[in-house]
Amino acid sequence: MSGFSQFLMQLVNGVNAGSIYALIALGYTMVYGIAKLINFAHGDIIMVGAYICLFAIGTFNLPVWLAVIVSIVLCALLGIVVEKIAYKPLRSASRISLLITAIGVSYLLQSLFQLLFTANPRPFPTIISLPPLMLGSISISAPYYITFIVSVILMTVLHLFVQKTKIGKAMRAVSEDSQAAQLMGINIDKTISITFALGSALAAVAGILYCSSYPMVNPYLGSLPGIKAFIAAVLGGIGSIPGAVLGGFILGIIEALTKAYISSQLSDAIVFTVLIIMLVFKPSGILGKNVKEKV
Amino acid sequence: MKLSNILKGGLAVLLAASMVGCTGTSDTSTTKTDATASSDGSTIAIGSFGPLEGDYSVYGIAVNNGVDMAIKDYNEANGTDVKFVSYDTKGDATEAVNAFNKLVDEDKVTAIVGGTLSGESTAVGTASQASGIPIITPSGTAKDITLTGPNVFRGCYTDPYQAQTIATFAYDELGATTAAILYNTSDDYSKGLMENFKATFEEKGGTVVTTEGYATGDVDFNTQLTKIAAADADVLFVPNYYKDDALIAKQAKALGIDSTIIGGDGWDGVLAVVEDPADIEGVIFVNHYSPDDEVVSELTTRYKDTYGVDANAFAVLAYDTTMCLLQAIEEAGSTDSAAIIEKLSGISFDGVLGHMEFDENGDPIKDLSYITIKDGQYVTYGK
Repeated sequence: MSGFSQFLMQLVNGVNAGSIYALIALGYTMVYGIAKLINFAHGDIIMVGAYICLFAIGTFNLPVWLAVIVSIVLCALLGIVVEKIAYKPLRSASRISLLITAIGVSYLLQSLFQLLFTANPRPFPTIISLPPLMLGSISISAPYYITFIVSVILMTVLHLFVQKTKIGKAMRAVSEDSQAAQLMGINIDKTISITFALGSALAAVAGILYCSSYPMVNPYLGSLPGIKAFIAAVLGGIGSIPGAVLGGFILGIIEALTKAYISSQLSDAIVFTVLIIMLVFKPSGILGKNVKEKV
Repeated sequence: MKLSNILKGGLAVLLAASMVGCTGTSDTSTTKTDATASSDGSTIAIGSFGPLEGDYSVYGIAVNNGVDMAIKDYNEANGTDVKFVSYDTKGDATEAVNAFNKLVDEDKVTAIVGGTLSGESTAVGTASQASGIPIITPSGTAKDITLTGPNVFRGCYTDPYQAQTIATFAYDELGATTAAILYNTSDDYSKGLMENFKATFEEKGGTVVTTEGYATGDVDFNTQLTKIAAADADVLFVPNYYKDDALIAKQAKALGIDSTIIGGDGWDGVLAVVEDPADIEGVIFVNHYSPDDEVVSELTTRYKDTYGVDANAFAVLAYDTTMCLLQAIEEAGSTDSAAIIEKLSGISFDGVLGHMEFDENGDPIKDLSYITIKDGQYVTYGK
């Protein structure tokens, strides 16, 4: 393999990993943008989505399309329930209390699923059985390009939803100033519930696509991609929808090129250094807005 | 983890030293009476200790059952009445030393099969130096265990031995001259196998063309595997646990890597976590025994009927190790520690896991089984 096609191949690897990060980062950024909460349980909703899909296909023998829908709907409901039980009572509390609660929910979900289904990994069924895409000498397997396409489509749809629809407008209003929004007759509870439902539905999709690429399900599968996607969201500018996707792809590509050309042993150290440098020079992220504090 | 182990080990030594100090004089008389009692009678007792509760209980219980089954089988075959005493350590080194003292002082056991884990085995090995009672661990892999004293033996192979054997196998049997490695940089097991494999393979004359790493929790290995594909080695050594192994093998196949994938005993159980066994077809790894071995499968079936759970490698190792110890006691013809240790050192034992002898450290020289995946089944390589 020539040096250039090797480079292209590594770039494709980076985009593969990046599209997963992007998809997960969408959910993070969405919830943060509207509820101003870094929902650390987001990664674990991914795990729940994967388990639901696994059981829907394996135990209940549902067709794939129905299993995906069941998984999305149940995760959306879970998102709403988690918000109502764990986050709503703390809405007026300090940010740090909310953050810690989110970490608590994350551990709760992990432990619960470990208790129910043990820590033993289970194989995830093949649900995408399309031929690989050939680009010259490079082949891209189906789960990867499907993830890429899905994350770009979802980003576009989500962006349009937030910008063009009435609910989207309400979301932006709550994000900007929730008290003023309330005075204008916007139902804050409903808006936040919808946000969580959407974020968790995205997580379910991410979970299913993640497990299609890396077909193994265990109670901890969401934590590492969750953290990586959080970095992607911060890198792109948390709260910004195109920023999350851009951050995801950049992170994936940096990771792949670091592993390929610097050292596969040091890739995480380098990725985190990039994040720190980014935060020092541009704390709001690549596409983040610099919001001025109102005095 | 490491620090707490060292602390525990140190505590165990202190504890053992204080025990020796207090009971020094009274102990000699009791051991004497015991020795006379057992030479005319037949009160051989085997002790064991291990984690029967807690995180590692799967291993401890398996070892306990394996020893129990071996003693029952031995008694039935020889009409003897060998006793079995065991204590729970919860995997803790201090508890293990307490259990050891109880076994020696109260139960007056002839020899000990244990412990299950490396930490507790090392602590007890150190603590046993005053009494010099024969101890053989069926499953502790840490190198230090058998270095604690001449009375301490081991029934399973160590990680360096395993890696050296795989490297030799790759070079001699598979005819490989180039190797690529993909290992977990944050795991001692994986790292240890990588280093020993590399050293042995290069010593034999082979070349390790690329060594790639990843971190615990990683699921995407495409980048490393792309580099490995470009290196085009004869074998790809993957010294990790089955969860990572399954994902690596699948991604390697998707990238069209045709190097033979080889690995260590961490691959055992891999079939349970793959959706399509074709992804890992042709992988070769070493293990303590081969799955299609009739003697072993007879044992594991009987084990399941008796104890209600599937036998794992720990259970089979414990069974075999206990049988080996009983043979040494029989050859010695007495319950004297020194006599048993002498026979154990020079033993030539043939058990369910094949032939076994001990080297000068008390580590086993034994055959490993090469297992390959064929048509979705574990089968012995080459058969």
